[in-house]
Amino acid sequence: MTMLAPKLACCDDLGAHLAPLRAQARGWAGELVDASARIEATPEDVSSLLDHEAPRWLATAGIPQDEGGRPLEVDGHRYEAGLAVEQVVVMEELARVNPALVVASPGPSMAGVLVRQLGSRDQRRIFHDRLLAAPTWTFFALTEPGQGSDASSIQTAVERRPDGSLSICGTKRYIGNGARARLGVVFARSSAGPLGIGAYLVDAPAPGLRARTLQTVGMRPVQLSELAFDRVIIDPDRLIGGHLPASRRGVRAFLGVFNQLRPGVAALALGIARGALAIAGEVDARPGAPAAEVREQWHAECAATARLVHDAAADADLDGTGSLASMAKLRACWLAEQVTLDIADQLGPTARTDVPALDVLIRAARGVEFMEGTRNVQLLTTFHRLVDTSGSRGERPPR
Amino acid sequence: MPERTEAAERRSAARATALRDGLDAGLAAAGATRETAGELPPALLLAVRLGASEWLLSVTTAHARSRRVGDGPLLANPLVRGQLAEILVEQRMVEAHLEGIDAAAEPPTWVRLHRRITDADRALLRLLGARGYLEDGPGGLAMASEAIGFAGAPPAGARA
Repeated sequence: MTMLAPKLACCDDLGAHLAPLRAQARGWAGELVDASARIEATPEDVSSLLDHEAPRWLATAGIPQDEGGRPLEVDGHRYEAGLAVEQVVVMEELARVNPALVVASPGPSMAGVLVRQLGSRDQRRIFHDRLLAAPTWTFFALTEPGQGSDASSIQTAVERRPDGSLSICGTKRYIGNGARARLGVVFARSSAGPLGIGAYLVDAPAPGLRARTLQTVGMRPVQLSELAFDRVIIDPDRLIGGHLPASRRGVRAFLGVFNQLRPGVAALALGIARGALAIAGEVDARPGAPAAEVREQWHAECAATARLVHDAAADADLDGTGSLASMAKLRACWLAEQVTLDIADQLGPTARTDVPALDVLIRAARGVEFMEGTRNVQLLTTFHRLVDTSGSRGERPPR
Repeated sequence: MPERTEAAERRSAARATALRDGLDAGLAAAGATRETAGELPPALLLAVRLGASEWLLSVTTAHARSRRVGDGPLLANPLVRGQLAEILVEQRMVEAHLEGIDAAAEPPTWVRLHRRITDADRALLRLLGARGYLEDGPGGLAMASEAIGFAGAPPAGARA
């Protein structure tokens, strides 16, 4: 990374740099309550989000200033949102209402991180100019029906045609915003082995590209989609990072992108938990439920998880390592599921129908689990951290 | 062995149907639908959800056997094996609670028992990856079972 994150002493005592951003994001979230209900009812109508400041900001968040990005200014502080520590603050606050508000908003999102990290100057310009010209949804097409998100097993093929152009064939599944996106990256294989895998910048719609939405049990505004590529033709210069050696744009490079994004997913999960606790504070519990004590414990667990999430974000900004982010994602997703279910249990049998905002969070808590690798992926990454650092851990007292 | 009550027989039949054919079939065997599930006797509702959870375990195990990760099936992964085994134990524990329900001096904490099934189902869905989040398939059925459990779990103190 080229920028250093402001180091946080403690996330509950946010550094002076991030506090105004959190206040701003909390204000935005408050204005999005009705919009959340609306897009849950009509997921295809997410363009209405653009009536609000947060989605408009997300539409270009993270685009560097020297590439046309417009930083957010709050109380004399400037935020480009290219830093994970800034992203997690905004994502957590918006997710208190509904994490789909973040994921279903237009903007560079996951594809943007990849383009920023690996793209050539021209590729960055093409990508960012499109997003700056008009709010644009983007896709990140990695997962395949039979392979999941295991990048090394990708079957989608890219072939060079006689005229030098490239042809992409294959199917991608569970792609957020896939059917509404007008620009994105697709992962495809040009040859066997990990170095044969590349990411390609693709416009949509395109001849040969078919999209259909999948019905999910939650986070419906995200419109998970299946994208079928049947000889979709692109220019050869659409290989992202084509100017780099193959070893610097292969699977390992993609993993670095996931490491950068994972704290954000953890922040969404944390926001879900805190959102459910906020709802619980406004509704009467069923008689006999140990409401106050349980909620107090959950608030404390949220505070501890928040420290982990923010430390993971700071780590991602400093060196792009992923294991702390895996721990944060693991714990935050667990927290989101347990808190939302506990609150529903406390409020009684009709809680999910009487309080639709809680039902949205309960369903979303299941959804964030599937983003950026499920529990077992994070456990294995965490285990690698243990093995990698076990030599020094034994000689160092715990903090 | 004490003779099984008529209620226990009914629970057993509904659970077996749910295990074989899924949630809706189990509810039908119990004489209910998703909409009327809340009117079932609490223990019968729990038995149907247990059977549906066992159905989900068999679906997930089949998925893990056929899904290849690297050089072998997902089922060869010790993490996956351990998680499936944990879920099997948890389901057996709910079954043990059900077995003792008619003779119990005190009624069980229904909400806690339903929650154990919900947690087991969610752990299984994780092993299905994003497929477990689709409305059409195991994810949708697990969510329906969960919603029925929320709506149908009576307060502490209610009898079977």
